[in-house]
Amino acid sequence: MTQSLSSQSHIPLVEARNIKKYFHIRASLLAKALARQKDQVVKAVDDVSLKIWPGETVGLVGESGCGKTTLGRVMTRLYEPTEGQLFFRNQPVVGDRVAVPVTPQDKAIRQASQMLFDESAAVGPTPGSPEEGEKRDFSFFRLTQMIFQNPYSSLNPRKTVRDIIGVALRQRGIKDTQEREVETLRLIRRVGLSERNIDAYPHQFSGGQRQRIGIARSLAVQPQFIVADEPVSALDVSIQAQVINLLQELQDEYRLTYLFIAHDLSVVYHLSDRVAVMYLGHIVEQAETEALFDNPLHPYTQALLAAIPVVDKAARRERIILEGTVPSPIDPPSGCPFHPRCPVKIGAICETERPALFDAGSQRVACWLYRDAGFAAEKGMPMASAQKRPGD
Amino acid sequence: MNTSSSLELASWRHPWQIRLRLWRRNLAEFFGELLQHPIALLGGVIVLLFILGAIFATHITRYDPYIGSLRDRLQPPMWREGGSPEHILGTDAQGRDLATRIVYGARVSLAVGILTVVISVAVGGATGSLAGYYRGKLDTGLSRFADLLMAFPFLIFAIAMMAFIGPGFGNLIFALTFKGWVEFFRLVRGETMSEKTKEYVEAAHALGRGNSAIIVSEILPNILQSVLVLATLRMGFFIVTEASLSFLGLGIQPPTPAWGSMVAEGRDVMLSAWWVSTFPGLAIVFLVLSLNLLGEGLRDILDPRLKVE
Amino acid sequence: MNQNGKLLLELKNLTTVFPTKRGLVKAVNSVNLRVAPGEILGIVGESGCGKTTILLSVLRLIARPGSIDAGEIIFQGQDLRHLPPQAMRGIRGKAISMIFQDPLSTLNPIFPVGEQIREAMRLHGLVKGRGRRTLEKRRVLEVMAEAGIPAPVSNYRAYPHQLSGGMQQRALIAIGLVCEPALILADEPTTALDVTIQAQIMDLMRRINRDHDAGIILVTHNLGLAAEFCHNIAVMYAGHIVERGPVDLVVENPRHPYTQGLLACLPRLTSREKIDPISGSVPDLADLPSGCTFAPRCPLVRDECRHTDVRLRAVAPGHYARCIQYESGERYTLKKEA
Repeated sequence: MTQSLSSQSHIPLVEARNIKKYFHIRASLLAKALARQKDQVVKAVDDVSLKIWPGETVGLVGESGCGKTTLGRVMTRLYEPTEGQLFFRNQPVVGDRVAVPVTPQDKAIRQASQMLFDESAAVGPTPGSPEEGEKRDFSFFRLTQMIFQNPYSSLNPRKTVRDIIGVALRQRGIKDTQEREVETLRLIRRVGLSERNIDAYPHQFSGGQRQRIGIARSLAVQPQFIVADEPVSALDVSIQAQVINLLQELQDEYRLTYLFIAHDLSVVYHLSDRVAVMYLGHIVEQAETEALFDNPLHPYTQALLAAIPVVDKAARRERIILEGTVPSPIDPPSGCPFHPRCPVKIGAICETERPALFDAGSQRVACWLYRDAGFAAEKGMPMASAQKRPGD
Repeated sequence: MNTSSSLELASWRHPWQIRLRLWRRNLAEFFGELLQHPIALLGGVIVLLFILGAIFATHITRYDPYIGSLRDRLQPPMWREGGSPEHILGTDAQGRDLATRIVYGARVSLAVGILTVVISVAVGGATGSLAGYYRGKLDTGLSRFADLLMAFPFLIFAIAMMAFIGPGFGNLIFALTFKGWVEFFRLVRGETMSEKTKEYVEAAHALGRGNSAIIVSEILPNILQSVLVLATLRMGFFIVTEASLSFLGLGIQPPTPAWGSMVAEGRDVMLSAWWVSTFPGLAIVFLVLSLNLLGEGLRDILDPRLKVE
Repeated sequence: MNQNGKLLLELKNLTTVFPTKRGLVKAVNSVNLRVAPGEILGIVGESGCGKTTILLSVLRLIARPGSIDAGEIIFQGQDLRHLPPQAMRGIRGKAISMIFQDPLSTLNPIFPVGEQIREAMRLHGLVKGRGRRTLEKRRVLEVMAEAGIPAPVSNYRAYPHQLSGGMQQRALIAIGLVCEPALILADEPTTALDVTIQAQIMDLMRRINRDHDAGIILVTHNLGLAAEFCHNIAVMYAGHIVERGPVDLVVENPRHPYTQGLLACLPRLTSREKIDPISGSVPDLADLPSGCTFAPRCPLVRDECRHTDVRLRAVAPGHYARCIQYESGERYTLKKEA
C-alpha cells in the first residue's frame, strides 16, 4: 500500500518529532502538608518520534499504560504535546491548524475519488482551485480523525445516527441539508448499515454496528489520516473480523493512512505494514511487520510475542514469563525503562543510560544489545536460553 | 456526491419534519413508560389538576377570593352539620369561601414553585456546566460559594433574607433562588465532569467542534433528564418553603390567598373551626406529595442506569 | 488427567432461563458437560452465548428472576440442584471456587487482601480450636506465596487498590485456592489483563491444576487461550453447545460450521491473508430462530436446518458436533458414547 502514492512518499504524511506528553497530578495543599505528597508528573509519552508514510498502516502496540493511547491522541491533536512538534506533510501543525502546499497528486486524487482535499476544508482568503505549490490553511481536525475503542461511550447516547453523522458533515462544511442527507445515507450504506436505522439511537445497535457508526462519522470529514485506538478490542471475534475487513476496504478505497493502536498482536500483524512497540512512554522497537514478527529484537518484544496465546501450534513460541509488572510512569526506572524486568540485561549501562533507537538491519531497536548494529542482523536473537521456560 | 438515487430524494424530508417525528416517537415512548408507573402517573395527574385549577380559577368558582360576607363566616364544610353546598369546604373567619381561596392559592404556590425552579435551573445549569467543563479558578470560586450557601439551613436562610429585603412576591422568588440554584449547580457540574471524560466528547473535539457547541449540543442533552427529575423534586420543596414563609408572615402577604398564610389565619380559630387551616394544609400536602411521586417516577423512567436491567 | 476415574462434575440437560419483557430467554439450553478430576475444560463462545451462565448455574448463583429450569448438576456424585441452601453454601468457595473477570470489583475495597483470603477460610471453618487465627494466617501466607504474590507478609495488609491488576487477580486466585477446591470455575480470568500478565496468570493456573489435581472450567472468548491451556473444549452458540471434544481435534479439525467460522475469522500469526468473517450477528435469545440457531448465519445452510431439531452427535471418538450433517450418521458411523 505504500506504493500507491509513491511519488510523494518521500514526505511522511504525519510525523511526530520528539513528542513528550506529561500529565501533572497536583497534590492538594492538605495532602502536601499532612502526607508529604508532592505534585507528580506522569510521563505518558517521553520523547517519541514516529514517521507515518502516506497509505501505510502503522501498528502501535504495547501494554496498558505504555502511552500508546496518549501518543494516538497527540497525533490527532486531541492532546497538545508538552514538548515536540507534529508535522503534516513536513509542515508544522500549529495549534489545530496546518498550512499545506497543494501538490499535483492532490488534484489527481481529488478528481479520482472526490474525497480527498476537498476545497471546503480550507479556510481563509483563497477561494477557488488552488495553484500547485500554493499553501492552504487546513484545520488539522479535517485531515485526521479518530476511531475510538469503546463503541458504547464513543457515540452520544442522546443523538440519532443521522445527528451523529450530520454533525460531522456540517463540520466538513456541507451546509445544504439535502446534500447532507444524501451523504449520510451513502456513508451509512458504505459501512454496512441499513438506512432504515438512520433515526435510531446508539443503544439500539449492537457493539459492531456502533463501531461502524463511529467509522462512518470519522469518514464523514474525509480525513487522510485515521488513528484507530483499539477499534476492535471490545468486539466479539466474529464481529471483529467484519470490522477489520471494513477498515481494510476503506483504506484501499479512500487511500487512508492508519495508525492502528492495539494490544492484540495478531490483529496488528494482520493489518499493519509497520509496527512500533511501546514500553513505558518510549518506542522500544520499530520495524516492518514481517521482520518484527519473524525476528523480534528487543527482549520486551520477544516476551510480548511469546505471550500471545495462539490457536496454531506452529505459531506458538517458547513462552518467556516476564517477572513483575510495568512500572509506574510517575516514577519510571532509570536507564532503560525495561531493565527491571529484562531477562537478558547486559550490565550497568542498562540501569544508568537510556538506549536510543539503534539501527539493526532494517529494524530499529532501543536496546544496548544492539549498540553494535551489525551484531543483531547476523546473529538473530541474542536471547539467553536459560531464561526461557517451556510453554507446555 | 451525485450518488443520490431517485428513491432517496423521494423519501427525503426536511430536517424539522424528521425532528418532529422523532419527538413524537420519543414522547409516545415516554407516555408508554409512564403508564407502567401508576403511582408516578397519579402524581402527574394530580399536579396537572392543580395546574388546570390555577389557570381556570375564575371559571371554577363564582366567589371572590378577597371579599366574603361576614354573615357566612366560619361555616363548616358541606358534609358537617350547619354546612351548606354553597361552600363546599366551608368559609374562613371573614366569610370567604375556602375552596375558592385554595384554588386561587394554587396560583401562588405553583407560580412560586415554577418560577423558582426555572430560574434556579437556568442559573445552576449555566454555572454548573461552565464550572464542570472548564474547571480551574472559575470552578473553585463557584464551588466555594456554593459550599458556603449549603452551610445555611434553607428555611433559616430564607427567613433572614426575607426579613432583610422585606416580603413580597418578587423578593420571595429572589430569596428562594438565591440558595436554590446551588443544588442544580452541583448536579450539573458533577454530571458535566463525568460526561466530559466520555469518548463521544473527544470525538466531537476530533471533529473540530468548539467548546460551547460541545457543552450545549453534546453534553447538556445527556444531563437534561437528571435535571428534570431534580427540578420536579425541588419544586415541591420550594412550595413548602414558600408556604412556611407565608405562614410566618414573611412571604405572600394577606389578603392574597396563599396556602401558608391561610393556615396561619386559621390558627386562631383552630379549636372551633378546624377546617380553616386544615384544608389549605392538606392542599400543600397533596401538591408536594404528588410532585415527589412524579419526580421519583421520572427518575425510574428516565435514568438510563436503571433502565439497562 | 484421569479420564477413566470418577467424574468430578457432570451437567445433564442443564437449562437456565431468564424471563424478560420480550419472552423467556434460555441462556443455557439443554447443556451436557463432563469434567474429570484434573481436567481443564474450556468453554468458548461470543458474548451472550451463555458460557458464564453455566458457571453461575453450577454454583446456583443465578439471580432472580432467572432460574435453573431443568437438568442435573452432579458434582462428586451429588446433585447440586436439589441441595438445601445451607449445604450449597458449604460447597461454594470450598469444594468449588470461582474466579471472576474483574478482580477490582470482586475484591472488597475496604479490607486488606490478606484478610479477605482468610475470610474465605474462616467461613468454611477449616481451622478450629485455639490458635485458629495464627494457623489461618500461616495458611493464607502460604497460599499467597503459591499464587505468586511477592512479599506475602507485607502484602497481607495491602488494600486491593494498592495492588496492580495482575496482583489483584492473583489475590482472587488465592481466595479461590485457600480451601483447596476440587473444581475451579474461572470466568474470563485474564480478560482485563495485559498479555504478559495473562501469561503469568495462566502459568499459575496450570501449576495449580497440576499440583492439586483440581479440575478447571475456563470460560473465555479467546480461542487461542483455550487452545493453549485446555484439555477439552466446548464451543457455545446461543445457549447450546455446538461442538465439544479434545482441544486438538476441535481446533485442528473443527466439525461445526460455527467453530469453523470462528477459527477462520481469527487473525492468525501464520498468514496475513484477508480474513473470512461470519456474516450477521448473534441472534436475539428471546426470539431464537427455529431449528438450528446458527442456520441464519451458516454458509452451509440447507432447508431442513430451519425446522429440524439437531443434537450433539459423535463425529470422532470423544468429539461431538451439533449439526444436521452429522444427524443422519451417513458421514460417520462411529459408535456413539452413552
